[in-house]
Amino acid sequence: MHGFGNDDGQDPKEKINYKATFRLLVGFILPEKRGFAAAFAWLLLSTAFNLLTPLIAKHIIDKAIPAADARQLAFAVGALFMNSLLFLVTNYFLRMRLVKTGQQIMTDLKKRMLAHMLSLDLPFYAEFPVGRLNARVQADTSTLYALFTNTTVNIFRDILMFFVTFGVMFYFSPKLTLMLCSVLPFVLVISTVFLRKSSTLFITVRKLASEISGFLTEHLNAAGLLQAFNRERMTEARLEDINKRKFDAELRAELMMIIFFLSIILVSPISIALILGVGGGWAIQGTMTIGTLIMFILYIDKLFEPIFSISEHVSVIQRSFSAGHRIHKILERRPGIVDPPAPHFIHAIKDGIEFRNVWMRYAEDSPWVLKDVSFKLPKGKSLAIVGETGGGKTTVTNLLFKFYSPDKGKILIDGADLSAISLKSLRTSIGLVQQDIYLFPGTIMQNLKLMDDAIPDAMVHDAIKTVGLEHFFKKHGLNKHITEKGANLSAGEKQVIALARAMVLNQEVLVFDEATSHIDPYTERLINAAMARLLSRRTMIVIAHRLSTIRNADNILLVSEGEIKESGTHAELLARGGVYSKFYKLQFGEEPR
Amino acid sequence: MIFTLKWLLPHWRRYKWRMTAIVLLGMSSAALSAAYPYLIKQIVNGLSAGITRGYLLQSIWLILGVGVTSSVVSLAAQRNRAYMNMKLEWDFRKEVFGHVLGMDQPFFHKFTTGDLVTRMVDDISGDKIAWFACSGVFRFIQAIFTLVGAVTMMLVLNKRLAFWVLLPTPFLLTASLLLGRRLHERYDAVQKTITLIYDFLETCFTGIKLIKANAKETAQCAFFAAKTDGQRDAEIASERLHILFSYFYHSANFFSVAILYMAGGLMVMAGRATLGDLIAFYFYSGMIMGPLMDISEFFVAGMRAGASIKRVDELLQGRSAIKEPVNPAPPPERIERVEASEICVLTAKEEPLLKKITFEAGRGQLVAIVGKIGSGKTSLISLLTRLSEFASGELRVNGQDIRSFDPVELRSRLGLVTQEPFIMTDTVKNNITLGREGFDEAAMERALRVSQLRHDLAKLPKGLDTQVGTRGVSLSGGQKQRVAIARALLAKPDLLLFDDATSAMDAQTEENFWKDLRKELPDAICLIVTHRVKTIEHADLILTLDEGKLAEKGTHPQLLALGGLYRQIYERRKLEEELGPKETV
Repeated sequence: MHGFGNDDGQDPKEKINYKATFRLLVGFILPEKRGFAAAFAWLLLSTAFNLLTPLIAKHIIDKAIPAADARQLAFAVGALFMNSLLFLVTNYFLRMRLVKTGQQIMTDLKKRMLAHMLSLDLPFYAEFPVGRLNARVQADTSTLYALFTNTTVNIFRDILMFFVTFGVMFYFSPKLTLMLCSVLPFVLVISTVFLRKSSTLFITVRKLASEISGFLTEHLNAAGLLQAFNRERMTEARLEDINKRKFDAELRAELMMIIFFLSIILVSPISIALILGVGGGWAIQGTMTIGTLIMFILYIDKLFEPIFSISEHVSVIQRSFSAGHRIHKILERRPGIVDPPAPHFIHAIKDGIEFRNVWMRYAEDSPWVLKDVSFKLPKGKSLAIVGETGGGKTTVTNLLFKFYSPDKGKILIDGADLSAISLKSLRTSIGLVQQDIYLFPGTIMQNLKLMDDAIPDAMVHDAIKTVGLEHFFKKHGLNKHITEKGANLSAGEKQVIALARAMVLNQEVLVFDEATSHIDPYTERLINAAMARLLSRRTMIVIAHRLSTIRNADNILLVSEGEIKESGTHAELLARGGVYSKFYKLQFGEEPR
Repeated sequence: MIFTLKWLLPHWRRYKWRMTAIVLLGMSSAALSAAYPYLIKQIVNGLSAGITRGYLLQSIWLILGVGVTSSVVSLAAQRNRAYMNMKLEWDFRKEVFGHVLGMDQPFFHKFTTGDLVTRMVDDISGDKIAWFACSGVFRFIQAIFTLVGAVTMMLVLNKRLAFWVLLPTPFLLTASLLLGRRLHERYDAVQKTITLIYDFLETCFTGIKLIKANAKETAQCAFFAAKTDGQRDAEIASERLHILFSYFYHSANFFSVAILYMAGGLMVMAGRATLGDLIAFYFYSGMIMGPLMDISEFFVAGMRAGASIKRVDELLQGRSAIKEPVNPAPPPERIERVEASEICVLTAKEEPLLKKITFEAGRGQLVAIVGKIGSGKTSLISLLTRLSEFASGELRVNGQDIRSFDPVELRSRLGLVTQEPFIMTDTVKNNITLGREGFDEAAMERALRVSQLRHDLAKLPKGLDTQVGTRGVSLSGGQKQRVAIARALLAKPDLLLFDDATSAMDAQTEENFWKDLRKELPDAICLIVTHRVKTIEHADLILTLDEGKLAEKGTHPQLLALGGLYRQIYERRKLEEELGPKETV
């Protein structure tokens, strides 16, 4: 699963808005405060059991064994066993509570982010590549997961553990405790400095790792060319260079880790030696019991553990803030096209659609994409738009769905200006279906409904019957699962599914974007027949690429260079012998097979 | 597992000194850590028996020495393993990449780029093969040493107590093995839900227009909600096992500890053990938990690494079908004649790709290949690069069998431009030279002039030294093509192979290009796939392919008079060019 989440698309120099991000993060915690409260309760219990163990051990050694009383020993050992068990159980509940709470926060956040993203306009999607949007929803939220599950609670636990341990040790021997604490600053400095150094190095390593993926993709795609130029050795050398840089960075990170680990693992023997050396002297004098000595040995790890985790907490918090910042930047965005204060709601289209002298360009300084486009589409009729790519066909539909607003001119539905009509009611009355598209991971049935469970299954069956595709869907069961974005279906099969989808979506007016790819003659015939039925039943605008579709349309617009060059029925246009007839010959004239 | 270890063996052999060191370090670490609790026992026993201060201090120094040395040795072993993981990852990738670059075209049809990258990155990565290759195996070895050391010491100190303390361990080992396997299954389940969501989001964001235009945002969110809930449940389920699994590292010895205090306490009371024994056993019982985990991890991770190794090994077992001569004929001075007679090429599935193609081309000739998509144009070009093998027929260069020459020698005399121009993330200059050396200024100047790239250079901020960005994003489609052409021309090849190499040039630029090319390389044989009417018209020979067959062959007037497939294609192209420079759909 390489490549997931590597794309953070953030300028490293960009300043994080800590205040807003903090408010956002707190906002996630608040609704789950009951979960966190329960976690804290489990935390207190588990920490208590954890810290009690050495005390019981001390009791066994100092009291139970010297007393030579088997019953007392059995009792104490029983207590120790129960205590350990209770620690594990409460710790389990604590961690499960945190996992559940954290997962809930993540899941809610993901849902919120997707809902928010889907409310944004097309320019947002043009600005961010799909991979980056994906990373926002999946990778950034999981970065926050660490913060919500472990860090928030563990910081508290670490503080608690440190002070209680310190208190108990101090109670039994202030001198020895203070002596042991003299090691602390040393530990703190080493762990912070080297952990931080190594974590920046690990970022470099990760970057180099994705550079390797990129390099491999780039060069394996061109393997034939590289071979033809006898460049195999050079290509290998270039990969070696990245491999080496990655290895070197890893090695440097390793070195930092060695120093860090050394500081951790040396603390244990040194402090044990300190306890035995100093405390042992007191034990000889009789001022300290052996049980206390052993208790100190058992406690020492619990005293240092919190210190070692400080730097880890800090790095989690830092990462969470960058992720939170990126999430915040998306959540604070607002869609550009919204409903007017008192929108006009439409339920069905009675008369038709009209474009009146529409001009459009996507930016102030870019050329016009549509120049003075006017046409009428009465209800129940069909309109085919043909013309070259980039000629303006897609822009016509973009405007109709209010993805953009025209710069000049008007678009009218039943005589009402589009800008006054409520977005939601517009888009439920007019539908869009594209034939060239990925299918969603789910069943064919779900794909036909565009995941909308409100559409009853019976309607799907009816729709399939209406367009005459029963036979096809007998072969491809509606409950068949789509895998890998439809890789288990051919291009033609996907087009048929899209066509059935158009019928299922049951809108009054349908905009249909035909596929350009070639398919086998059998499927082609199937699609042509279904399309003819669809055309006769709906008010349709088709961005047409198929001859049969164009022939069946009531009216044809030839859009080129942003203008309507010719319009009329197929026969009329052919008779005129203009651009359309040339276009027709090129597109459909004796195609070499 | 045997296959996995056998596969890894030659790699370990290459680093036999470091690997030996890792084993020795592991052994000494095991020995030292086995001695450590014994020393603590001596002190504790001494303390109750009233030892002198001097003796105490001496023991403390000993403990400190052994403790520190053991930690350092174990760290050294651990870090050396990490070093080897990284080094082996590097080696594996290098080996596989080198091997893959030696493969023929059918290999690249069998494995897609994405598949190859996954195998070379994920499967080899630090958490699959590379980790197991050293850490997985050698931690296991050290674990065995540590277990042996700890168990021996326990048996030496007190057999009966050892029996009691070790009693739970077989159960723990079994439990951790079972749990480990289940845990990995749950990790896989989580990974599956994540992939599903990534696929869903990708479809959702690419199909955003469809969703918005049909006002299906709510339905999409509801579907997504169900899927993320699924991910949440899978994550929680795997975390549940993970928590239990993590207990084995730290806390599962509490059974042993309780038994130890009970049995040991009674034995101390009865005078059959000392307090020091008790403490020492406490440390030993902790010492055996880590190794138990390593043993279970060895089997679980070994299975996964084995699966990855199989996938990587599949690449390494791939063989190029190109027949290379044992004693290559002396390379031709220059390529002056190419003859194909009845050449047939088959796909990996034995389906015909090219059927009985016969043609010949000599010094200074231009051969144009036309035909529909999938008619075999690219296959014909790649045949002459010796990157794919033909099944029957004869292919001769200067009258001699092409298979008698060393492919490398042959390739050094040809210039290839592929359909999709390959541009590396580097400078313009390096993209032209591709790292080839020994070209003077004049050669570069000539390549730039003929490829018509010289005019573009003035517009680039640093001329030849301009960085082109990732895969050439800062260059236009036409500029990329011209860079690719300049690259092909740099070495003054005798045979030029252009696969639709001039599609992004306008008619005038292309005309200039051919004029300049003929001035500089009048004798080069050009075999080109092109759509440009004017270029086709001027060809000395036109090959019209149809579903792998050579449908028509001849000059432009001849084929036009024939009124067949060529004529259809030609007239379509002509119409297309008339309708405007934009691609008609």
